[in-house]
Amino acid sequence: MILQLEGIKRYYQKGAETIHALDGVTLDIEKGQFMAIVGPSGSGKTTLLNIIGCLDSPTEGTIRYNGQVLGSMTENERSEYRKHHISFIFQSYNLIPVLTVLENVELPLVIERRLSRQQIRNRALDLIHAVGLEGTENRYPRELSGGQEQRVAIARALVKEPYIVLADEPTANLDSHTAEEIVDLMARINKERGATFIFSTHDALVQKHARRVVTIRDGKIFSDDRREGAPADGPHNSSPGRFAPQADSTRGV
Amino acid sequence: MLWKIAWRNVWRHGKRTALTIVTMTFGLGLFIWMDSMLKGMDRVGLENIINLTDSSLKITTRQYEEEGGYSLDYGIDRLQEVESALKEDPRVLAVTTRTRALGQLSNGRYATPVLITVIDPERDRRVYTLGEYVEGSWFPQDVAAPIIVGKALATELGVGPGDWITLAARTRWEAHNARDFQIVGLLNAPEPSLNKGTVFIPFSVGEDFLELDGLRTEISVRMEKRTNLAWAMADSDELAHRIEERFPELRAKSFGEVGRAFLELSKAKSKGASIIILVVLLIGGLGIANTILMSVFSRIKEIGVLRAFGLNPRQIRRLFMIEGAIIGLVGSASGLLFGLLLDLQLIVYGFPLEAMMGNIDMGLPLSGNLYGEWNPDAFVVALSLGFLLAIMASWGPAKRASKMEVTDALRFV
Repeated sequence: MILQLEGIKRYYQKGAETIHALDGVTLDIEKGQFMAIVGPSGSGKTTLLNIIGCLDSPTEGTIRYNGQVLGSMTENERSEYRKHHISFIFQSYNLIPVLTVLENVELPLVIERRLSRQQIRNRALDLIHAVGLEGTENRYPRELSGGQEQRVAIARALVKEPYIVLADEPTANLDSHTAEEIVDLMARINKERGATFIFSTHDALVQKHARRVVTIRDGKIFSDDRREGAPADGPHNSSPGRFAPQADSTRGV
Repeated sequence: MLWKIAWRNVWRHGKRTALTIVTMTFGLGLFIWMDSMLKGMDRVGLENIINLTDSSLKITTRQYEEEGGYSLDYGIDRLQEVESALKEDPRVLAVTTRTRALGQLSNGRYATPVLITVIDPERDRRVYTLGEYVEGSWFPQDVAAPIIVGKALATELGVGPGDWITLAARTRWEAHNARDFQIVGLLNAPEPSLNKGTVFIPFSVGEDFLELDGLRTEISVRMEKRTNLAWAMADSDELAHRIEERFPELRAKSFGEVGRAFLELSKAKSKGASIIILVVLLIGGLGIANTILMSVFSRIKEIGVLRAFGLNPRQIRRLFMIEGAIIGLVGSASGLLFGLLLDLQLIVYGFPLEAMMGNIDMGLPLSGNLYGEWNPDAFVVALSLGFLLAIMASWGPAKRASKMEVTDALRFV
């Protein structure tokens, strides 16, 4: 089990009103899973992803990552956790506009400072190739289509070989054809490289590919479907591969 | 990577950045230019002290110095001995003696108080450069009672070269005396006090006119020129000290002593200019703060992404501080270049201060153009000031960026 969420609550105060964004979510997530979190707008999907990604802290409840409790971390500790273990894919891609495709993909590794310059370059080029963007390395985001930008965002998310990839509505801004390509790409990478993918989505296409679909309503888990017919999850049961998580003292947490 | 992102972001909004840099360039350029002009004024002022009023070293008796008022009661007794002692010093180029007294100059209708300086025309020229500023002649041999009058004074009395004028004074023995002198030249030196209230007569006439009997109230000394102002001041200080040691009854006032007092006064005068420069730099600082703040606001989502990928608040702050520093460095360098060009113009062609100011008395040595002075200190100050200003101005916006909640930043549209 890579992640265990127990009784997670997240309340916000909006004037006199208390908003229950998450109201007691308990969830186990296995390594290498390809999982969708669905639900209507305002149901708490993004809040759940933010809490898993340590962008936000729960009001109550416990999160275990690889069996370790992520307690009340300082801002810097949360940055370290994100730096080494988590990657994000955003709905509106959020590439850094002043960096080229290659530099955008290299960015997480440069921030992580774990590899040499040459290793960073090789790995970024490998990922750019894997998402089918060879030849665009020196282009800037403004010179790319939406689909290409999201591919760059996927390459950027995967380049540091994270244990968990959190994708918030990754296909929402794409046409259906491109969305299908992107979902196929992520499913393939999940299968080949074993990173755990957790999506928040409204997209039926994403849900179709997901091995597990968790539905949230009003901050609570409404249903949790494990799908037999969907494409298989990544190699979570095999011995730790390139993307499979394991205790890694160099990565902290 | 932070440097790369910062550098490219600085130029991403080129117009905004350019405007800030132009403000800094203008501010720092003006600072260098004004500093050069003030230094030029200082230089002219110091040169005037040596060349026109006080020489490298001025020796009087202690009573004469303490009492003031140009009394003829306190002549230098061991004149020959002092002159010999001075000439022993290889740094001494020339020595002359003077006697000063108060008097009245009259054109027959009006009279005005003046300072009479009795000089040895030949020896005086080797110590002072007054001769260069005389319109007319420097004490021709064929005029029996020649006088050189300050130009402003002559204008006030409506007289000019060739005119006769009456000079009245008390002699050494307290007798009233008056005599007609023929104006042979008008002194138009870059030192307003000389032009306005001084007349010069030679000892050949002055001895008799003031009943001096060889009385000399001042010894003026010209010392060799040094390339460095501080060395020149130290030379004159050292010689003054030696003379006072050897002749305890004398007061030797070095050019260093007079110069330092002048520079202190000049520093006070330049405070007004500093305020103008501070205002310009403040505008530049606000420009930088605004540019960085705009940059923060236009990149809130980008800040969220960088935080999501693991940059901590300190690194986010550093990113924006680097942007401020880049603007500061480019702005300072550009200001320095602009300042150097302005400075070059001021040093080579000068500033027509006299033409612009006309007859307004600013207490400044005005004569033709005022030339600037290279001052490497000002370049260093301009560079560091611009850079520090940029760092200080970026601090607030950078801190704001680092304090942003990641979730809020990512949600920002």
